[in-house]
Order: sequence, then structure tokens, then C-alpha cells
Amino acid sequence: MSTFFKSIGLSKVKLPSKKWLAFYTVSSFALSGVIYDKQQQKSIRQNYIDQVKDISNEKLEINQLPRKIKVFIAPPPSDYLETSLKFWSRYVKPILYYSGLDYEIIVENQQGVIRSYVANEMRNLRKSILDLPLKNLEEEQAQLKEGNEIIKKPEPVERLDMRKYMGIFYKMELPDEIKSEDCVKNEPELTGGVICLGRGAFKEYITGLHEGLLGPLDMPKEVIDKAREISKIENDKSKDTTLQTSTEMVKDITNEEKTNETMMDIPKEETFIETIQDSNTLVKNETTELPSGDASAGANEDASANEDASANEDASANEDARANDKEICLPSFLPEKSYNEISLPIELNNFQTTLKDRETGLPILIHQPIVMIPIPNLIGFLNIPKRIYRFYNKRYMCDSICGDVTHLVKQDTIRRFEKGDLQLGLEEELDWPSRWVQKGQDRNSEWVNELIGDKRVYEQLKVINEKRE
Amino acid sequence: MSFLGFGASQPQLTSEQKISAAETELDLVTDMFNRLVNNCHQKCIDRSNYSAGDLNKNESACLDRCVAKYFETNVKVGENMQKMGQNFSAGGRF
Repeated sequence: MSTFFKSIGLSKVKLPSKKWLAFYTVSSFALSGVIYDKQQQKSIRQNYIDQVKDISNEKLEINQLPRKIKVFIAPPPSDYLETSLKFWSRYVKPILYYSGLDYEIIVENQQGVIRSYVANEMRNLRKSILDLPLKNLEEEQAQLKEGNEIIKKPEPVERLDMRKYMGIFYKMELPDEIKSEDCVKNEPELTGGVICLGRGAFKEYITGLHEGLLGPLDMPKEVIDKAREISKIENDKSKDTTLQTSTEMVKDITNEEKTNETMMDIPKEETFIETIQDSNTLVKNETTELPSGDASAGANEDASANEDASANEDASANEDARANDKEICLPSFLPEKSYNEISLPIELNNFQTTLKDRETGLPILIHQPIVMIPIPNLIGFLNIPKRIYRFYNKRYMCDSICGDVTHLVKQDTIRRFEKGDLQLGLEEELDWPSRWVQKGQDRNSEWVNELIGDKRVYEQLKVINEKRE
Repeated sequence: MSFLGFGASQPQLTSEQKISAAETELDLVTDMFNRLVNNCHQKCIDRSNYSAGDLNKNESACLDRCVAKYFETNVKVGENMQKMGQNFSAGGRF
């Protein structure tokens, strides 16, 4: 080397020793790989954002709400929710934000929360068609406890509606009823949208739809009794021994809410992600008493009025114990999943007309197109070479995820759901740790069961992902 | 704040007191509304983009979120104040 330098006239230059050269080479390879990958991700993301940005500059009337997308996020097995939320905030959220769409996130820390939510929505829709009283998740959960505690709804107090006199509305009329801009669209597949982050979320979403549409409207007695039995066993056992957890006794049931072990197998203090509340629970939180008495009560009313129009975003991340209490996981109303024997309920009218939500006038979840985004997440010591390879090639994953979300935003690749689409995201299951899967099969938990769909339900769904062969 | 702890129900107010209570409530709500409008306008509406008079979707969504955050902040601060107030009154009695 030094003779080379002499020949070109730089005789004074001295290279570092061979070992240092080796070190510098290896480290610069590693570093440049990371930097290149991150730069590419940025430019890919910016590319998709630019495709979508024009939508956000469109006009929105004062009395209109933007198109709302529901995002269901489930943590990968044996891992924290934060891993999934990283995918959400890095790849999905920027595109939704720059397109000006509204989104609502529904998170879960245990198996079954998303299913309960979706099934409850479907059941409430059927009840509203039949003019029966609706029930929210807390009321359903109260049924499971011994001695039916009836939750008393706070009686609405007659108050002067200040909104009529605020600001310019002192002289002007309040705007007409605030409706979503999606209400005027003719085709239901162009309204709203659903994003399922994770194979578990997708499975729960589909089973929730089936349970809500084909299952009974009220919690069947066998399910209530079983759940009460389990909680009794749990209480007795916890009084006897402190070491034995209830998980050893819990077998052959489909609900995971009674087990102390969450699917992540981590102690509860460490699940620190706040669940997202939809507008119902947020309004309930605001009816608490505040020290400034009447004035704040007026503020509460304004808040509850504004909640109808506000986007629900996950705020704080530091409510550990409360987060687990807020998640409501109901046992399945249809534990056997015998969809073939059940006939389609009359009120659904064989889906001849698009079913619309009573309050908002939007077609319900089943008509909205679905995007399934798999979350590849390998864990384990022996997987480290694979994980290094994936770490250096994140840009391809970024490309596919951002591409799918952009298709959802632009609504250009909507197609009917087919039987093969039940396997969407199956490659994610290859990443699941085998021990976790084994445990799940012993406990007969939801995620490891095969996803069964009933044709009458899934032929109504629409998908955005590309076809699987 | 402190006198409400004694009575079992709301203290009986005369009509004058009711009127003044309603007035203060109106003042407070109006004040909060004005602050909210100023705050959210400052944060959400870009000073350089006055090419159209209507709000676009981005700004609309931003305003919705601003209002939601404002109220949530209000509620949280109120709850904390209430806790502080209880501590004060408990400390005062000893």
C-alpha cells in the first residue's frame, strides 16, 4: 500500500494497520446499510404521501365530518403492544394524516377485545333494526358478575344549551345536523374503511363479524354460567394458594378474560399502552365532578357535544392498571362456531339493502373495505440472523404497507372478499413462536384456531389487498 | 369548594343567587370558548395558506383534534386540582 502512495506522490500518507482497516470496513458497511435503508424508507414514504396529499386540500363543509377509518391493532404474540404501534405510527399513520382522513384506533392487550367490540356493534345494529334497547360493553360485562349489578346511567340534567349563544351563533343559526360526508355516497364500499394490523386482529375482526351477525342477541345462559364458574374457581384458588395462577385450570374455554396471564405472558404492570376509547367511554369520563362546579359542568356538555365531531387518538401512555380495566373482553356468544346450522337473521334482510347505522347514517362495518396488514415480528435468540436480514431490508415492507394504505385512501383497488382471503396475512403466523402456539392450542385460545368463515357473511365483505393464489 | 362537603344536597339558593350563578357560568363558558377558538386557530390554520376561504379537510381534522385535546387537558387539570384541593382541606383540619 505504501508503495502505491509513493508512486502517486503522497509519500507521507500512512494508512492505519490492517486490523483497524478491517474494523473500519465492517463498521462502515453496517452503518451505511442502516443509513441507506432509512433514507429509502423516508423517500418511499414521502412518495406515497405526495400521492395522497391532494385529498387533504379538498374543501370540507362546516356541517360535514370527514371519512372515518377504523384501525384495529393487536400486539404480536409474546410481545408488547408497542411493537405493533411502531408499525402503525411509522408506516400507516403518516399516510392517513396527510390525506386528511379521520381515524379511530381500537387497541387490545388481551385476546378477544376486538372481537367483543365488533360483535357488540353488529348486535346493537340488529337490536336497533328490531327496536330493542341497545347495550354497550360494560353492561354486557356486568351480566357476567354474580348478582346482576345494574349500572345506573346518570340522569341527564336539563341545562341551558350554551352552544346556541357562543361566538357568532349569538346572531347566526347553528348549522344543520352534522353528517359525515360519506352519507351521500351511493356505493357503500366507498365509505369508511377498516385496517387490521396483525393476523390476530384480522382473525378477531372476522370472527367478531360472524358472532355478531349470526349469533344470539343476548348472552346465552350457558356462556354466563360457564364464565361465573370460572371466576368462582379463580376466587377460591386465589384464596388457597398464592403461587398457582389460574391459567393451569383454565382449559377448553374460548374467553381469555378470566386468565391472569395475558397473551403476552408478561406481568400486568408492564402493559403500559392506553387503550383507545371510542366516544362513549370518553364522554363517560367527562361526567366526573369538577371543583369549579357549574361552569365545568357546562364545559362537560360542550365536550360531549364536540366528541361527536372529534377524532379519537391515543393520548397518554402511562395508565397501566386502568388500561387493563378499560378493555372489555366478553366471551364468545357462539362458542361452537357452527355457522352452517344457523340461519341468517330476518332483520338483516339477506343483505339486500345496505345496512346503515341509526345514529350516523353510515353503512356498517361489514360494507366497509378491509386492509389487512401483517406484522412480521420474529423473536428469539436463534432467529437473530434472520432478524438482522429483516432489519436491513425494512424498506420493502415499508413499501408494501404504505402501498396498501394508499390504496385504501384512494379507494382504487376494491374487490369482493373470496374464500382464499381468509388466509390473508398467513405468512405472519410463520413468525409466531412455536411454544406460544403450543400453549395457545392447549388452552384453545382464539388466535391459533383456524379462521372459519361463513359464505353468507364474507361474501358481503370487500378487500383492498391483492389476491392470494 | 369546601362548604359542599358538609351538606348532603345542593345548598338552597335564592333566585338572585341562581341568576348570579348562571351569569358566572355563562362568563366562564364564553371565556373558555374564546380561548379555544384563538388557540386552535393559531395552531391549526397555516398563516401562509389563505388562497381559499373554506376550510380543507386537513384543517378541519386539525381543529377537531385541537378541541378534543383542549377539553381533555381541561378535564385532567381539573381532576388534579380537585385532588390537590382535597389534600389542602384535609391538611387544614389537622
